[in-house]
Amino acid sequence: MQKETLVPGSISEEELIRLVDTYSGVLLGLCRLTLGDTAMAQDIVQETFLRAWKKGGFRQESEKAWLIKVAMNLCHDYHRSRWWKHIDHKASIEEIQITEPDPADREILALVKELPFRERQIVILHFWNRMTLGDIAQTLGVSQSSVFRGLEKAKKRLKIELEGG
Amino acid sequence: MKATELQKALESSITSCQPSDYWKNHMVRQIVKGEEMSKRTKLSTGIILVAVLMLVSAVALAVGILVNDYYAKVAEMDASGALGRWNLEDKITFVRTMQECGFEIDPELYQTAMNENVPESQREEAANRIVDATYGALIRQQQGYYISEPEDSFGVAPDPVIVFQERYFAEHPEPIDDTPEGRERLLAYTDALGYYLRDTYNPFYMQAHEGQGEMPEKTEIDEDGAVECLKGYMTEILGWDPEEVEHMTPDVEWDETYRMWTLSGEVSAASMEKVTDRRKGIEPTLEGSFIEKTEKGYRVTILVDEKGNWSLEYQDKEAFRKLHIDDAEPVVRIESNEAMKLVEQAIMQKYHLAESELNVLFCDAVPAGLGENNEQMYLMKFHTHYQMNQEMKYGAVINLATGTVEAVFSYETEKWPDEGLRLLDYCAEREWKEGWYFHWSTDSKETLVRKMKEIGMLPDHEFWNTKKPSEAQIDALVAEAFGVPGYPSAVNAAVMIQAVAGPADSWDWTTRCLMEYLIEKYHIHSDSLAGKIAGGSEEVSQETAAEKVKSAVCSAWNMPEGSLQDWQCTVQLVQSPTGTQHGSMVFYRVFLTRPDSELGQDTFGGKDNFNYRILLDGTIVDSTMVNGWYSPAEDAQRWGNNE
Repeated sequence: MQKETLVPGSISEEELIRLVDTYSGVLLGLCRLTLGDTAMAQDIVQETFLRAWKKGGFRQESEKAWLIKVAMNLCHDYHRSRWWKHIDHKASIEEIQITEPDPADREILALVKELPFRERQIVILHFWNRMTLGDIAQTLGVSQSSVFRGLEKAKKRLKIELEGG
Repeated sequence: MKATELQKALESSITSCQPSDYWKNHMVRQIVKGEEMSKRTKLSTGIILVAVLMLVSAVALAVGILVNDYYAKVAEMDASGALGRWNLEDKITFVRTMQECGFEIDPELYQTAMNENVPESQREEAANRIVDATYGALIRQQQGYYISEPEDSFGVAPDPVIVFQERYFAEHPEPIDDTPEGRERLLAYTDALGYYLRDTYNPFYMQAHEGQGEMPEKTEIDEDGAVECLKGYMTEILGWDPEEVEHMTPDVEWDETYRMWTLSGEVSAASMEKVTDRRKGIEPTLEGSFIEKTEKGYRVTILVDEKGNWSLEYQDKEAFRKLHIDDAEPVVRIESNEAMKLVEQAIMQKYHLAESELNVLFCDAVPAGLGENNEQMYLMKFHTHYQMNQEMKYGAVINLATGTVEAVFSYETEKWPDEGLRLLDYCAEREWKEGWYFHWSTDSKETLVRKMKEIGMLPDHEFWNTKKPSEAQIDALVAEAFGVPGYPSAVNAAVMIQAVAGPADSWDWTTRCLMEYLIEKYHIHSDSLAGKIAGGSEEVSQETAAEKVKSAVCSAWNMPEGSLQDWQCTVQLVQSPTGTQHGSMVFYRVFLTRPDSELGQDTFGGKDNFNYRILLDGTIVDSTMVNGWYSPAEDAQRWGNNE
């Protein structure tokens, strides 16, 4: 994954619209799965795009990685604070349409949601986004060995067959 | 579960959200126009602190806490992570501390918790009940966030903030002293609590609200705003009935001299009873406090200034005014674009460059010192270089909070540690030509240690008089120099640089940037390993690694331990090339091969060969397994060729 690099200047409104069109759904799903809360996921996605806008953009090839990194770190910040349980949640179903997963997936997702927060993030990034452990470490701002350990523990908890892991 | 199933489930969940065009357009419009983002979640800004401060007092008095070092002990547990782990051992320690400090504890429960002959589950249950009796219900009642969630890692451990507050009441069991001295004392405590909370939560708080770490500049409020402050205080802080508060008529008085309102509101006794429910029969400590008992119920009075700051402790306007006279300035004074201009000016001035000379350079920026805890998040590090040439030209560090330039330097003209550079150059060249350190020829290794000696990395030793040192002697010296005893492979750029530039924590910004650049540039590969081992991880032996792998394989295939006893096992120490997912790591490869006598059996999924990577600290990284039989030597050979 490319190292985050900032480029002076700002992105255009058209560019922002493209980014929102392309990534808002994925980021929303990612944050919702990570935090288990649609309203908070919406706020984090907004915040992520706002940061992209304020930062003035990023190199084309790493925009997805950059957005995921910021969103994941915001999820972590939200989660880390106990204040987040002290929040009024006002998700609007008109704003987001959510397709229910099929029963088999639901079962697996329930297990994923039971993982400790960091392990959940690692599993999502590794298995969904196919990120290498080094890239995950960079994204989450933790050491590579923490990621190894987190993934190992998560695999054990999820009882993932080693051939797949 | 199969990895592919997990992948599919994650994919289906992540792609299950379809934001409406309305929401997307609304978001874009707000961002582009700089409007305040409408949030779906609203952080309750009222810190529960004060309510707990008031309400806990009754409990503190009731239990008659007598010792002063209670908080210190709990703070120590908190610092060591005990309140985060909150396992049986931690709970027992905590309960013992409570007992020693004079908490009233059910003796039967206490005995059960302390009795090592009782099953652990029962001891834990007893400990939970003891803690819950003092903290749990109170916390759950007053602070909705205090819900036990396994992934939260907070469990049901008592909140150190509450413990802190209890300390105050342990030391000051008398009713709140409403004299100037008493207020001063209370202020000192609440200040300390405030700092605690601020230091704990503020980084998040600022980010969550402002995204860029800016503190919102407070705008002036009108009378309606002041009334909202009072109502928010009554509901969010005191926990009084929102409906009743909404319909009450507050008394409001504006003082032009001090530019603040005095507001008071009243609720029925029932509203207070709801929040003191747990302590039925115990009258809240009100004498001399900011809440007075009235005929109808309870009345609270607060001061609110024109910026919406409100005061509980201060009923004295002069003191309240002084408290907010130095209101926090917005933390970030300049944006990165403005910082960029500062960088350009500073570089042009220091190095006598024309604007045109600077314009041909490409400039990028990264946060400087941004750690997991978001420390120093306002420092930005800028580099300039030619776009087609990644060699750095100039650099600067800007503090966005103060708008000041912390350092400006040239990557080319600053004084570099020559002997260190020669060493780095040499290592980089050897790695390029010969690969990892342990593949180097003895001559190359010997040259390395002699260069290390030149910069003082190696002490005087009879080794230097040896005409033809053995490879083992050289390896031992290298291992010693890099702080990885018993493991000679860790040639580490950071350690080498520190040998010439002093310890990293003594570097100023210029040195730090230069050295970070060198480390990045030379990228000599064993850094992470050296850090890992120097950080205290125990290195496992080849035998242990093999046992761990065997155990993992048995467990993964639901086979009894020892089922692999007859399998042939080969262990190799290898180092992966850079760029793979485990780049720059050194690890063991463990090859397991089914013995002839078991060929054709369907145990272990019918696989005949397993090939695991396991880190030196014993963490199993990944595995490959093969259908079809290879001898251990063949298997090692096949994989060895790919290292």
